Amino acid sequence: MKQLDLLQGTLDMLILRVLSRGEMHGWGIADRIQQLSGNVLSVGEGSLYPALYRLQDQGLIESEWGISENNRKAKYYQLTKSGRKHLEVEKDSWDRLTTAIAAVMRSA
Amino acid sequence: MSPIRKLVAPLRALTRRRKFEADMAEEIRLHLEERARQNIAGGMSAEEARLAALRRFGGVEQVKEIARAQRSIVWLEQLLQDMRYALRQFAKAPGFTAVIVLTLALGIGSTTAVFSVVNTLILNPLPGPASNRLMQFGERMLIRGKEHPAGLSRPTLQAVLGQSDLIADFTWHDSAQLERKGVDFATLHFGAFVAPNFFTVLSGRPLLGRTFLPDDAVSLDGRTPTEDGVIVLNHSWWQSDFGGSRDVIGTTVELGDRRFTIIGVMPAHFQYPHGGTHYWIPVHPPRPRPRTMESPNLRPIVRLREGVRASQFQAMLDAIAQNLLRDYPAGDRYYGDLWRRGFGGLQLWSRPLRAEFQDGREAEELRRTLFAFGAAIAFVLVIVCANVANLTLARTERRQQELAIRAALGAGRARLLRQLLTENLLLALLGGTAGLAVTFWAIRLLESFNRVPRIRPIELDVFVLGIAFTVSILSGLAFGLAPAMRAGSARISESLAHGGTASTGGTRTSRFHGALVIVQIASTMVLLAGGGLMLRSVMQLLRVDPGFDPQNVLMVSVTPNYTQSRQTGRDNYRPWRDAFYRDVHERLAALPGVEAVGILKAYTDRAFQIDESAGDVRLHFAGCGVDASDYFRTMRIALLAGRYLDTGDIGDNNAAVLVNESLANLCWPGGEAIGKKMRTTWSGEQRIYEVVGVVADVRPTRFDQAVHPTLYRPYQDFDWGLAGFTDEFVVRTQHAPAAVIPAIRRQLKAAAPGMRMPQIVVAREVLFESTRAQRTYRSYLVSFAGAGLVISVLGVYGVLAYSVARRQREIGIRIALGAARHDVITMVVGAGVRLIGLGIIAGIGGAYWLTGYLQKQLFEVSPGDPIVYVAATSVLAAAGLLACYFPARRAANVDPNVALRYE
Repeated sequence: MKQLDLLQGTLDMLILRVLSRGEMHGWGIADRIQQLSGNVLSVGEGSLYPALYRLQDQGLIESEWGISENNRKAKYYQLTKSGRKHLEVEKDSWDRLTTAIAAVMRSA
Repeated sequence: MSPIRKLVAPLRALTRRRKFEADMAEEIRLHLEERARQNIAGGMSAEEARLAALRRFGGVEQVKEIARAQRSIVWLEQLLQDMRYALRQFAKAPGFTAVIVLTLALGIGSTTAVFSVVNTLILNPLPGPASNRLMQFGERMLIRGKEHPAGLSRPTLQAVLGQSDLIADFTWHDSAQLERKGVDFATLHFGAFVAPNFFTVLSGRPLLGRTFLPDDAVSLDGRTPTEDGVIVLNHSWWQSDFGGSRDVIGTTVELGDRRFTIIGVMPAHFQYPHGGTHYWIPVHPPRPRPRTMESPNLRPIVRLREGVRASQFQAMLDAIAQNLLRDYPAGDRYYGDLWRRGFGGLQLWSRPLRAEFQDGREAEELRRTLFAFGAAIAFVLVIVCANVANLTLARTERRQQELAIRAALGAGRARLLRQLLTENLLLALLGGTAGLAVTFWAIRLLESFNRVPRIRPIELDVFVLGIAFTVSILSGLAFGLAPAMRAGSARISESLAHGGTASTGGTRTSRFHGALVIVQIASTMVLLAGGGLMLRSVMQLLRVDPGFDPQNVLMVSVTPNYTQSRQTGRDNYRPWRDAFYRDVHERLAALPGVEAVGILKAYTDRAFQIDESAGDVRLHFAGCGVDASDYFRTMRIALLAGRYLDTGDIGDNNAAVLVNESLANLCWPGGEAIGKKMRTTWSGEQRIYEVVGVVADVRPTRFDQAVHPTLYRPYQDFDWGLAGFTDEFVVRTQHAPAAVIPAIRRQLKAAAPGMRMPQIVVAREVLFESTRAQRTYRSYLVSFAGAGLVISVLGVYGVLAYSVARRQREIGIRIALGAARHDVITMVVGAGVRLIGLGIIAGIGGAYWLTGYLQKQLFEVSPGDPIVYVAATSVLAAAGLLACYFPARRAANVDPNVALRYE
């Protein structure tokens, strides 16, 4: 249970990180995440979508149907303002956490 | 997520479910297609590409399910599922469900009802916005050191109305008494003369028709209107004399020789200035007292401007009083002297209009009744709630196993809790709905006790309803969830191992059960004591000797025509009166079935001097028939000492008087009254009377009425008759008195045509009817006590039976090890007796303390009456022992083989 929570949190962060560079459709995000952190989606690519819907329900990203680069129909996602802010906040706390852990590891 | 979003999300999710499903399916399909295309581009076959895409994706349905679960809608679907499950559980245990729903209904219903009544009649009796700015005011006079309201004088009224900067609205009402001629008799109807804006200022809306416009007002000459006009009827008069028909609007009614067109009818709850106000007539201008006490009942009402405080208003009145005293100095015949000498100084009082409804004797009585009722219901509730608590606890313990299994199978604790929460909410909903029905019934019941003037209808207080509802939900949660919380991981294995009858509750739970039973027994004891006291009180009341023989006696109150008796003049009064009485006597005595007729002339209040003491004593002075119309003999009033009066005592110079017991005890306590003398001034002359006999006190209307000290002289003494005073004829019949009433009416009409409707009542019925309030209260208390007793007995039985069932194994072992059957019985009964005993002791203490509040309702019974307590204790103990008997018998018959083998 706990491992899933951690993974879920990481996944959310990664999605927001990916979208901070610009809007993207579902499988594009999956590709980018694969590059950034392979094992997050090891349970299956599909687990991306529940995460996307959740983030959308929380108001951190929004979506719109559009045309992909292949001229196919695709749903594009982009960060909202609160999503951008959320990303900043999470990044800060993550940095603080890693610094603290590093400090502990060095001293021990 | 913002809180609003969180709230709205489930609803939005509900409406966009189809779109969500479609979008999701589309998106996933496109994803898979894209991957498949990439795979084909990488060299796979179509089929391989598709499969590879699927594998990489993961389970499509699983993903969809996760996505769906995330949506709030699942919460709603689960809720529906929970509700259906809950309903199935209720159907499986209908008795349990019924008890809980009834308890909730009773609790919510009675609390809301009592509070609604208290709110409408006592806390907020005035409707409309800014009703707390309505004030009454007037002049005050001192009579023998006590203050009395004294109406209003013209200068005062004008001065107050001149202060328009403090006053926003002004209205008033004054009492009206107008005669309506009927076919046989005239009837006097009480009503009110009011300002045209009366109903507007008081926010009174009519049931039919309309209320007044400024043009509708007529003027008054003395106490009667000078011209025809319009009238609004009150509800009860409309029902009784006008058939409650909607066609009454536009018809006319004749009152006081004038015709009034009926333009409206007020609803039943509008009873102001009091319940007997039959009509309202718009009048202008108000007639304050010019010189004499012509209108002592003029009651002005003002609405203060916003922001003006009552203290400012009073300060203004004080200033006005000072100015008026200055403007009308001593020596001014009309007001100056009146205020200074008659009133003891000009003092203006003011109070909020609210106070008229909240103070006063009727309001006090209502408060007492409500309190007593509320207390009784509270005890019943305690008893029933204790039962519910025991039942719920027992049931939840039984469900431990079920809950444990569900937890082991993966239902999260949150899910289980939500299930229980749903059950409780559903019970609360059912109980609340039933509670509404109880509320309406209870409000109607409480209304029947009310005699306070009213303007507002009794409305259901939604606020209190909500609170009662919430409290019931919370208490349901407390009892239902607390044990369920223990169905955590640690307990699962334990309860599964021990099976359903495991004593997972332990001693703490059974002690709690026991405590609840003690509370039940104690509460029942209180109710039994209260009911017993009321029972005895009513018995005492009905046993009181009214001082006469009320069997087959009619009291006939006659008001001869006002104009007729006035016209005769003072000198002609006596012959007219004697002739009139003789005529009536002959007519009534001649009727078949009439045994005797007596006469009692109206009382007056006079000052007497008893020789030894210096001060004046105020006594009632009555004239009675002493010849053929002998009052005492007809009424069969006992003679306690001396002799009755007879025809020999008639005559202005005769000094013989009869006194009643109260007078004898008041003036000559402990001593002999016969032969004592009393002095008074009569028509300017001094008269001396001598006591020749003492008669018993008479209580014709109520068993507990206060009797005034009275002396009796033959009525021939009285040389004047005051208009409007009634004369009383008492008629003793041989058989059923009510049958003679129509004949009496006919004779009276013939004797004095044009007289007012005579009031004829059957003495026994009046006396019995006067005890109605106490009898009703007694009936309710006794039924509450009975219900409480039954429920408590069931409670004791339930707890003991449950305990025996749980301890079957233990009992089986005991018996197998050699315990005799009667040892087992003693064990069970002993447990029960301990509980009942503690409960009775606690109950006696509580009863003794609380029934002190009943003091005012009790008649010649002390709240600590030992007979009642002994009786109540015996009844409760007997019932309790009976409740112990059956479980004890079952315990004694436990077959050790069976008990040890099965769980």
